[in-house]
Amino acid sequence: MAETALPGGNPTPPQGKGKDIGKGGRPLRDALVAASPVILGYLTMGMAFGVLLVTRVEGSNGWWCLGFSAGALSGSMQFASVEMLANAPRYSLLVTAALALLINIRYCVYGLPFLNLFPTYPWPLRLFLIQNLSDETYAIMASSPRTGTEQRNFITAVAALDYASWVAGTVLGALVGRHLPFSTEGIDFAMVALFVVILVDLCRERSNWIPAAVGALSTLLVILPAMLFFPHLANKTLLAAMAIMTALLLALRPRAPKEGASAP
Amino acid sequence: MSLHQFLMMAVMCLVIFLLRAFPFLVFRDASRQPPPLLLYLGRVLTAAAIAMLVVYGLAGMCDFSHPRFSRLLWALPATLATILTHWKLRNSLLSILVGTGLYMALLQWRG
Repeated sequence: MAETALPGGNPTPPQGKGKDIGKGGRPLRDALVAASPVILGYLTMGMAFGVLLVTRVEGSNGWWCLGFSAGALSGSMQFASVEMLANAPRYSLLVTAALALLINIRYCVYGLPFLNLFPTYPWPLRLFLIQNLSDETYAIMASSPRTGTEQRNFITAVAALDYASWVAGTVLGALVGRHLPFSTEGIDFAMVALFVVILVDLCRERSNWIPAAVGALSTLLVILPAMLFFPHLANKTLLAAMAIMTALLLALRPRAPKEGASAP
Repeated sequence: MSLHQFLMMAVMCLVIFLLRAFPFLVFRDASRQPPPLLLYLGRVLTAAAIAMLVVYGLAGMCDFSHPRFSRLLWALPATLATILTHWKLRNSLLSILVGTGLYMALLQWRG
C-alpha cells in the first residue's frame, strides 16, 4: 500500500473497505503496525527532500522544511518546488498556484469517503485529518473497517504518525544535507527519478497511458520550440503546457450515456 | 528567504489544503454527488501532470551551449535505469537511488 511511500506518491488507493492491516482491537497499537511501512518511507523520502532542498536552494534550512512540510505534506509538490524555489524570480505566484492545483488535483476527491465522518469530530481534529489526506494516509484510513471511538483513535494515530515522520524526515535531511561526506553534484536528478517512479507506477494501469502521453506530448510541444528559439522563456511555458493538456484531456473524455441529465 | 520564496510556499500550502478540504466545503450534504467531470479530471490529470514534470525536469538538464548537450547525455541512461529498476523491483526508494546514483557518478567522473 505504501509502495511509493511519500505524500503524493501512490495515486491509486484502494476504494472503500478493503483489506485491513493489523486489526486486533487495540487502535493505537494497530495504527503503529498499519503505518509502519509509511513511516519508514516518509522518513527516507523526507530526508531525500531535505537534502535536495538545502543543496539546491541557497539560504534554505531546516526551518523551511519544518514549515513547508507541515503546511504542504505533499511529496510530489515539494520535490517539484525545489527548482522553482532555487529560481524563484522566474516563477510567478500564478504559475506556482496553477502547478500546485494540477499536481495535487486528485486530493479533491480524497475527502469523499469521510464526508459523514469527519464533521462529527471537533474542528481541530477535523482540520488535522483533512490536512493528512495524502495518498498513503488516505489509503489506510479509507480501508479501516472500524467504527466509533475505535475508528477515531485509529485514524488519528495513523495520521499523526505519518505526519510526524514526513516532517521529521525532511528536517533531518536539511540538517545533514550540507555535511554529507561526498559531493552532491547531480543530486537534483532525484527529483526527475521520483517523478519517473511515480509515472511507472501509474502506467501499470492501462487507463493512465493516454493521460500520461497527453501530458508528455503537450509539454514537449510547448517546451521544444521554447528551448530552441526562446531559451529565456523556457520557465514560462508551464502554464501553456497545462492549459493544452487539460483541453486535450477534456476533448478525449469518454462520454458515458448514463450520465444523462446530471452531466455538467 | 526572500518574500517571494515565502509566498510561493504559502500559495502551494494553501492550494493543497483547499483541494483536500474541497469536498467538505462543497458537498456538505453527502447525498449530493460530485459532478462526473470533476471525478474524470481528478483521475486523469495526475498522470498527465507527472508526465509533464518528467519532461520538464529532463528539459531543464538540456543546455545547447554545452558540448555533448550537457547533462542530458547522462540523464537519459539514468532515467532508463530508474524505469527498468522500478518496473522489475517496484521499490521506489531503490529505483530513485539507482537512477540518481548513476547520474551523479557519470556527472562527477565523466564531467
